[in-house]
Amino acid sequence: MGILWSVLNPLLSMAVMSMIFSTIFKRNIENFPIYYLTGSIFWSLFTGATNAAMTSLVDNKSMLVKSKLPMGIFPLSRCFTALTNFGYSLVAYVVMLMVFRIPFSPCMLMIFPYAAALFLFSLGVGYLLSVLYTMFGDIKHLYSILLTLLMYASALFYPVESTSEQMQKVIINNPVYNYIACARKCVLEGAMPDANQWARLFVWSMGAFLLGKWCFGRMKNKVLQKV
Amino acid sequence: MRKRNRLLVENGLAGIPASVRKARRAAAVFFCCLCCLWLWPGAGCLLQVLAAEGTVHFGSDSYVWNTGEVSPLGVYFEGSIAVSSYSICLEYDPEVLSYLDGADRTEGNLLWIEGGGGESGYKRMLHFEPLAEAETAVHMVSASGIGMSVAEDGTVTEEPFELAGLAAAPITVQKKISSNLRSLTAEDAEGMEEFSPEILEYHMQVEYGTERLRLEYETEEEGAEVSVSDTSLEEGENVIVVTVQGLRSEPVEYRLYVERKKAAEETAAEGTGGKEGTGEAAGVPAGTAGTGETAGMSAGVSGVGETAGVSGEAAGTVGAGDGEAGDTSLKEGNGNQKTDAPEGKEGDGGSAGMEEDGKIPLDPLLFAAMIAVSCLTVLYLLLQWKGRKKKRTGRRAAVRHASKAGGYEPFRVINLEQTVIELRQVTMNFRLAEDESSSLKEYIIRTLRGKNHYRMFSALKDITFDVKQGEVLGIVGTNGSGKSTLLKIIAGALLPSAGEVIADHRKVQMLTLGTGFDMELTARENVYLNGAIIGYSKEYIDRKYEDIVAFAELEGFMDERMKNFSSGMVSRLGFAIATMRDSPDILILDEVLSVGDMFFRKKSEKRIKEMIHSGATVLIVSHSADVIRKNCDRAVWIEKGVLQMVGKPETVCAAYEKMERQSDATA
Repeated sequence: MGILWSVLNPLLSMAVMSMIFSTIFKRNIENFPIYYLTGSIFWSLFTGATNAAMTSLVDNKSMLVKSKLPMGIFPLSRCFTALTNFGYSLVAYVVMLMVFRIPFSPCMLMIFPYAAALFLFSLGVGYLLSVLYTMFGDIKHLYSILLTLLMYASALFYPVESTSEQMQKVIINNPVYNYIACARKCVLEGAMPDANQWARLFVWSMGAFLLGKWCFGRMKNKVLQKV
Repeated sequence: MRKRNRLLVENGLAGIPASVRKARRAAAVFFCCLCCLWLWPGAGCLLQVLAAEGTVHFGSDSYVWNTGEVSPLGVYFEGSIAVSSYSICLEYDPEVLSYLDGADRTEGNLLWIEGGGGESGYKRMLHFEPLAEAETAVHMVSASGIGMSVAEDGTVTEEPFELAGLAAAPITVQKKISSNLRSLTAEDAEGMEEFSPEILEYHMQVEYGTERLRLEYETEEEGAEVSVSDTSLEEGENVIVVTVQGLRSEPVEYRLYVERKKAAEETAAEGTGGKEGTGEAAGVPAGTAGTGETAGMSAGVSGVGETAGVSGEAAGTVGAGDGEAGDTSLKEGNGNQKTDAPEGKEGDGGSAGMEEDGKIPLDPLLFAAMIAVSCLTVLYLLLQWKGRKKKRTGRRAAVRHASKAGGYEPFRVINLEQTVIELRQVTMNFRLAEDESSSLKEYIIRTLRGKNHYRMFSALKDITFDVKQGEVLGIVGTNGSGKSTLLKIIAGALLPSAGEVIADHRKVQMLTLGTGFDMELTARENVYLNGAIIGYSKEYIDRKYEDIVAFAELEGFMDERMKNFSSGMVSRLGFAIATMRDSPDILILDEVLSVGDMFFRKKSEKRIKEMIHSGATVLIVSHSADVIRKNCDRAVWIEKGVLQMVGKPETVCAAYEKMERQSDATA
């Protein structure tokens, strides 16, 4: 089915998830399916981008050494692929919004800046991971465990308020949760994020990006030797 | 006929001609129609032989009614054939239920329902008003009906219905409890003295300083839920809605119109008693949410879900999830959403004043982080801008300096006439770990055990030589002598640990076995990919495509995945792509000429000679002295990272071979 599948797949999985979460796991949140779906697409963007970028350098070993391509292009291209997939799933997401009759507000367009910020963040993390992966092969497994932890700490399918105080602190400081919370706010409530959230958006995105780039630049030689 | 048969057989059909099939189909249909027509009257007779059946029943299997409410009871009569008349007799208990209407005749505690007319079913609604709490039932005493059927010749036959059984409807009567508030008081409010459960609107006034209205209330019904809208007060008119939701009835709304006086002086009137920073229960005084102190008074315990018996429950928000326990009818923390309660969200309990329905102040730590990151961003952008400026203006020198601590320095291009590549004291050191650990686990274990030793391996030591434009330089050496490392450094893929390399990297074309191919793609795609990596435009590749395929002799294989190619095919294709450029400036061939059969070797040598004549510089690396002798103008011999000899190919190769023979002798 090719390109149609890229839209159909998220649509179908969203439909299934909505059904599951509105009948099996009833929650005291309005529009729980949309609540969950917003989190889900952002989360998929993050995991897709970082997982793919992690193995990008090792996978393209031959091209890395022999051609004059700038090394940074490999993680970058994989992150962009993930962003494209996110774009497809956005189409399905809009369909879901219409199904659940969420009123449209101009704030909803803020999703794009949030996605861009998350993209920068994933890129930075991807740079870092790709360099680490060339040195230590088991980073892959460790990272997947870390992702599981992060997923549960991102309040994807439960309301933040229903956890304890410490847990709430942890969740709120989780960068990925921040993007999800901002997106939910703009879609479900039509509101802009508050000052703290803006600050977090900026700090995490630019911070991760700069850190990743810097590490990447510094370790270039080592990578070429190791790979 | 036979021809037609053959055609049909060829098309996979059975050998029956179409006309015969059609005829057979028509015959079958006709036969079926005949049968139906014959059976139809028979079917009619069959039906008539069966007795007419009827059922009487009530609308539901059981009923639950409240005292004092008019309640309906549906009675149904259905028959398998048309009902021409029916009659049902019902009995009820007049002390529990008071009959209002719906029946045709009443007598004492009996009701008669009669009717008919030809429908197949009838429904009648009776209305009762329950008087007292009891368990009672309405029984059918008797029922009968006559059905009629019309045969096709017009005769009408009537026969009585056989009823399956008489039904009874059990009814449970409950006492209706009104879900109003028994009492409601507001502190510091003038005008709210009298409260009556029936009156739903109240007007009152509060002092200027009052920012929240404190309410106390009791419900009449146990277990009723009370939710209160936002009790924060602004200057002027405010409306607060108290909604009582009983278990069995509609919600009742009490509206409180509160006017907050505007006075000149401000009083520091906070003090709701409830602590800030935790979800405020709706105007409950001692409601320290989260700690669940039962304030001992009637209303409003949040936190711990205690059903305070008669006194109803607060619908307040819950502090830190303790209230989850009280799930009987306590709204959970998210009850906020349903009732527009104050946005006393829990959560960042840390920052003081988080609960105001206004701006949330910026966390100082975040603020500092933001400043730091913005500085770094500005720095980064500046660096990028500078780098781009340099690239534009600096087409002169390309000097690669050694990396002292791994720093990365931008290129500058030199355009020298004669010397195309210069190497000055180039040294390359690798840090090799003993027993290299390839996974984090091993690394950590080794570090802990102290076994993580490193040794410095010198791949290249003080290599110095020049390459002039247009010459063919051969580099010989045994395996592991550092030839490939040297090539990578010249190509720009590696930074030397010390020394200088002066070469225009944009003009260098490195060619190794299987250069930069993606094995999963087809050969055609790889041509374009490789071309793009080298820097050709798509139109250029389109033009040169045929030549490439012809040179590599891979016609017909271009749409195969490259992983299916033999190594010879891969190198031929690589060679073809790399040399498709009309005049590459610097070509580095790393052991490429050794692969391929005789014909290909001839072709590639010819191609190289063409390129040399057009002014290109070629570096050939090989461990075979023959190749060097045949093709090169000058030769370099590198052994174990040290430059042994530079000079004419014959002398260098002779020395090289002598060393080999010596090592053979000693071995």
